Amino acid sequence: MQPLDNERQLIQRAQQKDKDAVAQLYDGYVQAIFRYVRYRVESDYEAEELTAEVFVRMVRGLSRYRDDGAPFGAWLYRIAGNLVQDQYRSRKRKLEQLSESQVSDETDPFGKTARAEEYARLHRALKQLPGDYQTVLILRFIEELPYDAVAKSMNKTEQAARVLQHRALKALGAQLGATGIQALLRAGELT
Amino acid sequence: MSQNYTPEEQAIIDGLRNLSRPELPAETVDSVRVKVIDALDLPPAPAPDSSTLPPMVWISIALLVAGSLLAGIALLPRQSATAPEPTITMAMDALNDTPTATATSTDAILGVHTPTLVSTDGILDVRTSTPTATSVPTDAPRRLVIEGPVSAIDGTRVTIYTTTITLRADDPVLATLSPGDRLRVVCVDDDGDPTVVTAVEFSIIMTIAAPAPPASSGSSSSSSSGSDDDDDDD
Repeated sequence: MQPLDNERQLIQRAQQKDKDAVAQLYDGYVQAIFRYVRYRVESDYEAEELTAEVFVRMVRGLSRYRDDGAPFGAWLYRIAGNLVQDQYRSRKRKLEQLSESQVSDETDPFGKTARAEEYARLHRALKQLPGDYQTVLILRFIEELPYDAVAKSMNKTEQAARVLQHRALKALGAQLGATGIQALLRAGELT
Repeated sequence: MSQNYTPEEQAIIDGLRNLSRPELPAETVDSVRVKVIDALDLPPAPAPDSSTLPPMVWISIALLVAGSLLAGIALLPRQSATAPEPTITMAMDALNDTPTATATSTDAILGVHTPTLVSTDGILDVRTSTPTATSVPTDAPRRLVIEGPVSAIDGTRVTIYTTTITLRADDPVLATLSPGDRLRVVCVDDDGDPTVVTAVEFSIIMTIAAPAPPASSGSSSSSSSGSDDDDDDD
């Protein structure tokens, strides 16, 4: 998540309701936000809806946004994380009624090959983790953000982000189990 | 600082890195962009400001707070030697006339007994000390004023004592709020359950700051102290 060129100016212009600036901010961050949301929800449809909502809230909250040194993207990740969490709460009961097979067969976006199946299993295991754990793993290893950016996105100190990552990896390992990790190791050898 | 991972952790990390990168389709990007640009024409999200309550209520709240503080100051010498006791304040159930008691502790720092849960149904209505049930027949959402330290933050939900308050997901205060901060929240009890309410206005009245570093030598040693913290990282 590199800041956009002239990001500060773009934000100032967007705060003045400059449509071109808003469009540039949107274009600069939409795929990253969509990826983050998509990893955390069950379907493309939900991810698209929530991504749109993130940017609508961005626009509506721009007048109150203050540059405190954190990347603009960190603010967007925070909005997205909060929205996902609210969505998760409101749909928790409904999701619990779906069988795991329904979820994986119908909505998993990760292909059908044997190797892809291991990654799909990894993704399902990831989604079983607490929200903070999911976020730190997605931002660190999928979005490849450095610790300081992850920390700012999660409103934590860098040290807390490191500790959180350590615990999240442990939890994901426990979720996968020994056989799941072995399968990942084999899948890695095939890569 | 490079980090060493066990082979199992490394396999998980590699697996995460190898997950496919879902992309928002171009046509969806375009349609959402239109929606986002259109949102520019909407009024900005209501900031948590004083316009959400009638001025009369704010004046009453101000008087209440001032009175509480004066009473607290007057009682402080007597109470300083004893631990503050919880104050039982009442939130009245408008539908069934049954009082619902919520126990909250008092200001632990000042030792002042402050009313922490205030029902404001149009006019300010404060109930403290001995609970006496009074029926307030109204279907309007109940406005509450809650003051106290944040005991937990879970996404957009902030817990003060036994009350969970929902904040706006994009509210900037979420970025600065920490457990222990003392909040004053005006909120709406829109489902009749006084333990789950929605915030409409709030202010941080005390922030629990990290312990200040010893004010000895250099003034710009924050980065070096940060790296010292890394020693704890395994």
